[in-house]
Amino acid sequence: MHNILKLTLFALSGISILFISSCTTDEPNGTVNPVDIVFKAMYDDRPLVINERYDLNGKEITITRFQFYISDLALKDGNMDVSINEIDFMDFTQKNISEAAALEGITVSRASVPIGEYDGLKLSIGVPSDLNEYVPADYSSSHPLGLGSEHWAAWNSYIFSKVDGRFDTNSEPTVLEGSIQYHLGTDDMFRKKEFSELDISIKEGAVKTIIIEIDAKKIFENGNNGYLDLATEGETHTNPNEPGQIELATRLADNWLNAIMIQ
Amino acid sequence: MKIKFLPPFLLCIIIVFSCENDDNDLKDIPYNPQPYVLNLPDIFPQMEVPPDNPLTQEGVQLGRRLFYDPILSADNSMSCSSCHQLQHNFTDGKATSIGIDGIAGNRSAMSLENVGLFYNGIMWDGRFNTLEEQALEPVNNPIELHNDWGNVVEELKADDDYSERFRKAFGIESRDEITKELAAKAIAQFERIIVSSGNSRYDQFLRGDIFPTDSEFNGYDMFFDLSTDTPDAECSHCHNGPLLTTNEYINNGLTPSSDLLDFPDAGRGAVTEYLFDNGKFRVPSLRNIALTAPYMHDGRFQTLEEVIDHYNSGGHYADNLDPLIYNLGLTEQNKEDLLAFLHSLTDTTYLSNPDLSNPFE
Repeated sequence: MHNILKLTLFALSGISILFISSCTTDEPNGTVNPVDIVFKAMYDDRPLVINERYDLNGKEITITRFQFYISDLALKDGNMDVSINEIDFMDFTQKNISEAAALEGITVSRASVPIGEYDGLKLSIGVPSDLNEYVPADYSSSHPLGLGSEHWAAWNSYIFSKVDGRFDTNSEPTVLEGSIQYHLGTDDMFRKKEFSELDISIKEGAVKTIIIEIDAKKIFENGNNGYLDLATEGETHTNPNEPGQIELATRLADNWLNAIMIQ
Repeated sequence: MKIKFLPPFLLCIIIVFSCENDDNDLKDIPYNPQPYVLNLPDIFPQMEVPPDNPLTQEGVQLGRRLFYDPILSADNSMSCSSCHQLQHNFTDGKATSIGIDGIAGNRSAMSLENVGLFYNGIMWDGRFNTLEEQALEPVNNPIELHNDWGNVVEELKADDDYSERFRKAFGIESRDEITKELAAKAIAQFERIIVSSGNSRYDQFLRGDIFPTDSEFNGYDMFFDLSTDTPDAECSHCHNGPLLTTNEYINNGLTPSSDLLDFPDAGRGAVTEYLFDNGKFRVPSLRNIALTAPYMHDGRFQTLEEVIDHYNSGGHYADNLDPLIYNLGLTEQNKEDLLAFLHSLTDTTYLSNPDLSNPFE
């Protein structure tokens, strides 16, 4: 009886595989092409180099940690999405140690995107709620969601983005006394970004490269009032017990949307 | 007349050579490695094991013997376990480790607890990407085992027990196939089974099995910045996740430095050759931290109280000082609570795993 059950399950698995395969065979040879989406972290119009000093409203700042999750990265063809990547972790802290490295960016590739014309691109900053229910123990340590360092057990959430740095608190910039810690997480901080009216043509032949820039300076914007006052708004860990942190985190999450641009 | 002795002489030569070949041949020894099942705590990430070095019972047991065997050192006085002692949670209890020639290194031996789950480099400076790479280094290092892998391999080949174990672990067909790389693979397998039990008071609290003392809970609150009832001690930003480490390299303000070139030990910077990595060291796991004194990469702090005082002070400024290091303003009671929480991370039950003990005792 046990063997019959096994055989039945085996047969059903085989049928399922055939069924699934038949659903995804809409990319025959010759009708697909590789696509690279390159993410570049910038500060204003310069490549963002970790630990370099930049100007923010007349004060010097450094960014010492710059990392975030992207999810649901897809090209759009009308209402149809062609997924490039479900989830990835962009660690510019490790990558951007020089201007040359920063200019290289971090590439997300998909080997086979159907050839055709696409009019949009979408992505999200953070981990969507259906994946945010999981914990690193559900994944291997090299999977983007297996990074124990990027999950807050106390908030039941992945840390969607981290921007850390230092800033000058006086007119003597030798020492940057102040600290910046912007750590966003929880479902409310998940943000979706969509670029429309694009003209992306995927043709047979060379790899299609699409460049997305993230301007870190825009994360420090304060609506129409210039930039955040780092002395009073230099830290949030999206602590739900501290309304001020949630309010600041919400503004920062919105700033992330403005910081992302397609080149 | 002499020619009549030639056939028997040649026969003897053939017999001698064939005997040597037989002795070298290991094919008669069964090769049937059995998977080693690793029991990780539920909250731990899954371990990534290299496909070319899966955990097997035979490989782990071979690695265990090599780990504890002073055959690896030039004078047969030290083994891996000399600096990674089970009773010290796989450290040596010294500020910096001392090799067979009595020369002290400049770094403290890191605990091996959960080392198979770490990523982003191994050691204080992250200079090795895999345990297999790391296991090759101490044998030749003049301030550690100060031996030569060539000598070690010859000794292993000459040893019947080791030859049999290499056969059973890796399926080699002759002693000649024993290499330092296979020895390192076996040691790496053993190191991967050094994993926590998940039975510290902290783990039991997370599972809802116990409630911590008031002091432990306040420390937990400060460590993870859970409420406004206590100050934020900023610990969890670097000591996060089930292993209580982000696997990053930071400058935590230990050493005064006039500029980024002035650190006495460049740490991570010596590996990456990136100026802003100078003075940075790996964030260690805090599991069983109460058992691994002295603390920091150079063992400068004898107690956890000294460690907490350092972080409370804000450390020494440098352009790459981590932004989370600043004067915390903790009270004596705050510090006691933090200490109580750190002690709640202690769990020695995993050390009673018989597979971790010295096989020569």
